[in-house]
Amino acid sequence: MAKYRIITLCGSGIASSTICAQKIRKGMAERGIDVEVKPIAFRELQGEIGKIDLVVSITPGLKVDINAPVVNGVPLLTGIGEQAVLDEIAQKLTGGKQ
Amino acid sequence: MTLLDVVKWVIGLGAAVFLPIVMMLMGMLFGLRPGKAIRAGLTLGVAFTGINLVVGQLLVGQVAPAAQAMINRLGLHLTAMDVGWPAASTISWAWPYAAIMFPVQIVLNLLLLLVGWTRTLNVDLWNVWQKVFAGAVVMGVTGSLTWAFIVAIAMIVIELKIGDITAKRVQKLTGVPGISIPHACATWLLPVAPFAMLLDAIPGMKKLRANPEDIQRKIGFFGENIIIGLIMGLLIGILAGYKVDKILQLGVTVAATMVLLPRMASIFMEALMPISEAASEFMKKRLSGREFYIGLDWPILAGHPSTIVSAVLLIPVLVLLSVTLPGNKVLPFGDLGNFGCLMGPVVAIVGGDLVRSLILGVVVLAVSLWGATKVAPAFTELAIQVGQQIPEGATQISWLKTSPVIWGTLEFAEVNWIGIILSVAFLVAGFWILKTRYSDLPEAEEAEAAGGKAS
Repeated sequence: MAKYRIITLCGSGIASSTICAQKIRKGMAERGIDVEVKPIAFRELQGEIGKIDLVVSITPGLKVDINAPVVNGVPLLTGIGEQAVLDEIAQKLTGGKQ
Repeated sequence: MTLLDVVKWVIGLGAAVFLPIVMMLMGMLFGLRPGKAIRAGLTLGVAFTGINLVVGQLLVGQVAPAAQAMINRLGLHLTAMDVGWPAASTISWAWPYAAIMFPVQIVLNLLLLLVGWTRTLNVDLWNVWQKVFAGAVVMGVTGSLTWAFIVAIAMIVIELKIGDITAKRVQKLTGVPGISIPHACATWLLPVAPFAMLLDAIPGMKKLRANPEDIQRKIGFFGENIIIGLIMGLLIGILAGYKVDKILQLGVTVAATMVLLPRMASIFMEALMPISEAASEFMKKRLSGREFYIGLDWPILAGHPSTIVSAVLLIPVLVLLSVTLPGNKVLPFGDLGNFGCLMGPVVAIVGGDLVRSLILGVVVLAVSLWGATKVAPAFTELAIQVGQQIPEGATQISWLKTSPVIWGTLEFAEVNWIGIILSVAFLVAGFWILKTRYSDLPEAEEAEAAGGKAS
């Protein structure tokens, strides 16, 4: 099992959340952080039964009612500020220890 | 052997084989390394096989006969079943000319940007499939490849223009600067705009308020695919007059269909991603130093509570409409719990107001049902062509979220004058109203009432 489990959220759990998930997998692998990323639809978050270390949401304004840090993933879609978001995710997961 | 023979032979191998080959070549065209291109292509073939498995075994094999039994028992006049967008996109990609749509959209978008006809660079290349769907369906009706691409091009232009017009309200609602949503779901705004204007004219309409966030908390559970699937399965089983054991089995089968189809479609997405990334880089490189909106897929609008709540509250309305709306022949199924994308743009133009979103949602759904009815024969034909199994008997398949632009085009193709006049009227009126009334930011009072937006 991967060390950290990340949920990416979008409208359908298919398109945008998969794009984010792929970029996060690649970005975290480059940073040497072991993650498992699962794309889901925002309306399925309440029914998510696995552990969640971090949520990446591309739906601004959505109140994510969950006990985990939430990162705005929109830059992963626009391609502007992508690395900064990946750094933020890495920082939030490891607490800057790595 | 001529080149044409080679092409025919490759297409004859079936979509699961020719899709990987075509996509591999397309990936390399946009500068993907061969190893990555092969992997992306192969993943596409795998996803296609996976979706076919679910559609064939579950949707067509088990769910459709039950739905048919229900329709017969209740004496409904529904002859087509909505297969939902995961299946619709797969069938579309299997259209032999599908991959050509990538360069068409990219070149057209770049040209329009360069001459200043649009301010949007659409980097959402996943939804190229919507244009493929339009082209494939129109070719099915007209038999003309030229018409197929004319319609696809018209779709691309209309999407970009609506993206431009609604950009400010979209940015306000989402709190993300510099974006627009040039998505097919925004084309519903054309028929919706006149009604939105009418609603605005009703005195006191703007004072009616509902708090979407309270409702959202209460209905969260029912918004999940797995729960919607279970409820639908049980209901269809009961209405079909099944025995208890069969009803329970159908409940789980439908839940499985609703969960597995999106998972399979997600593999599709993974496969297309390297290609769409390469293409997106290709476009940005050619536009360096220019100002433009970045065109994204719709889910960025999905987080607004009014979108979530209306997409769930309107589910029963959709079911009721499907049996009461004159002229409708489509049983909403695959996308029954999945029309949030149609509500997103509506929520954006009414500034997040739930009451008006719900009322306009009824218009959206009626347009969807009629459009899906119109497109059913051609879509069924296409599905058979690309080797998809179709439910036994008289049943056709269709897709609920068929853009009104496609519906309008089919009226043209069939030279149905009433349809043509109405389509042109809605196109012109829709654009005019959107441009004059909904392209600027909502008034202060509306902005203030815009529920849970990031403020």
